[in-house]
Amino acid sequence: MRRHTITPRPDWLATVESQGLVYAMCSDPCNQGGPHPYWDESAYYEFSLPEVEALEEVVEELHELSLAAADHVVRTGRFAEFGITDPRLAAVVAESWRRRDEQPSVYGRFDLAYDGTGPAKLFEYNADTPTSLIEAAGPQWFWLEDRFPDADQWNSLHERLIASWQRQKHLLPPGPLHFAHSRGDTEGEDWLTTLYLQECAEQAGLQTVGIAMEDIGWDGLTGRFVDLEHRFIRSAFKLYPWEWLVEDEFADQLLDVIDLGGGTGSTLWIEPAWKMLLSNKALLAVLWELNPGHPNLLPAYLDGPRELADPDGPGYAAKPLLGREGAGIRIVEPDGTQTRLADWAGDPDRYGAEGHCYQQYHPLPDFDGNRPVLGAWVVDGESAGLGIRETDDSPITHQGARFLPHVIR
Amino acid sequence: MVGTLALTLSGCSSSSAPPSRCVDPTTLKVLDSHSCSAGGSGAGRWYYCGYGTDTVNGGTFDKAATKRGGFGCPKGSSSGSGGG
Repeated sequence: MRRHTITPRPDWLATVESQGLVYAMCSDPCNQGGPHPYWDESAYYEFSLPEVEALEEVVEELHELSLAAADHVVRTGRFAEFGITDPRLAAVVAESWRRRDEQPSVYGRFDLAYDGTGPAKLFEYNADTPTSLIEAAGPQWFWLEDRFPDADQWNSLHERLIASWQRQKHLLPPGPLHFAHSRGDTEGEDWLTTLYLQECAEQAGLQTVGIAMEDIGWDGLTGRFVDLEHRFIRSAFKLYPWEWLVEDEFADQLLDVIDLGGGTGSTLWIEPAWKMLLSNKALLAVLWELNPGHPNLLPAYLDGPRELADPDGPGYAAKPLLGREGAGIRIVEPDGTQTRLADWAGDPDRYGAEGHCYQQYHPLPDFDGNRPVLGAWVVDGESAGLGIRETDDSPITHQGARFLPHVIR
Repeated sequence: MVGTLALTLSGCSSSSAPPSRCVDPTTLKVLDSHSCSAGGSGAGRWYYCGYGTDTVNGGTFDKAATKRGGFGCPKGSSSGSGGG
């Protein structure tokens, strides 16, 4: 794995925007909202084929281990450790897991630390609402074709997403599949990501309807969720996290009529409810407990940092179970030095009331001051591609990170 | 997006069906209007807008009964939901 600098294409911004990356230039959270190039092709990463082949195996093994961890949690009822304390919600998640073969599940993204010298280490699994998908699937591939047409890339995202919808469409109830994003995201990333997944589903032959989460209606007389045309929403892909869904005003209705496959209710949600067990930092502790010493896992605990906090220990990162975009993460080094995201990242305490996972501190690799994290995609249970985000101002990857393309050669 | 917006604005005007029909509230099958009228069987309920000949869809029993905004952000607030 190497990092190379390169002169960007002169028309790079117009090019990637025309390919769907409308947030290639966004407002910089670190700089009073000034312009910030999120897409950064002034450098790229190079991998060898054996490196990528080994990483693909790691990704698929981590996915299998994550499924085994979810199974363990359901069988032992350890929902409270995931912050799921409502027995009704726990029952829904458990039933969703048991019927997982009857509910479509499309994608997820592992965040890995890797520098080409040792085993990749798992930071987290974004298995419910992962983004940075468009740039990884499209503009990155087109960049490769422009700049290095003879090289390859770890990227079969687009084909696999279409194939995933095709393979699972028999699980969908009748009627169009709705694609819902939240208007809360003003950069357009969530909406565009949802539109992209909708397009993949259309290419797979599905009939689809786009809607904002805020526009989903509850018809009190029929007891059904409806769209803006008063059509019943029988199935919905939502780029909206489960932990918010089950806290929203419609949470009771959602749980009342949830379809956990096979027509068991009137609205089926994708990703399914069992993904709450994967997209939660508590997964990291369960993974370590079930697979101690695994080369791709970092020691992680829920009851405190244990030996990680010893004076001669490695230090730890305290991660809110449901934190997003690095918010609320606190790195504690062996000498007691603490690091959090700067004030611009917002209230550092907006996550964490649900509990923390204490994971061994593992610094991001450093390439001349640039710290990449690998976003390794899983589609339909298989390794599907890579997107790299880089920071140069923080040991914690945050919403101001840049996306850099990669090649295999 | 244009399509979504157009649908939002069109309300019930997209339907060429009668603006109200008497239907079975469970199956949404169209019934004789006497089933909804006072003194009738009481088995039916008026269904507004929508489409379909024998079975209706895309409409509502009572527009006032459809509540929106129970998911997501209040107007004017901002916070992305994707990522992680």
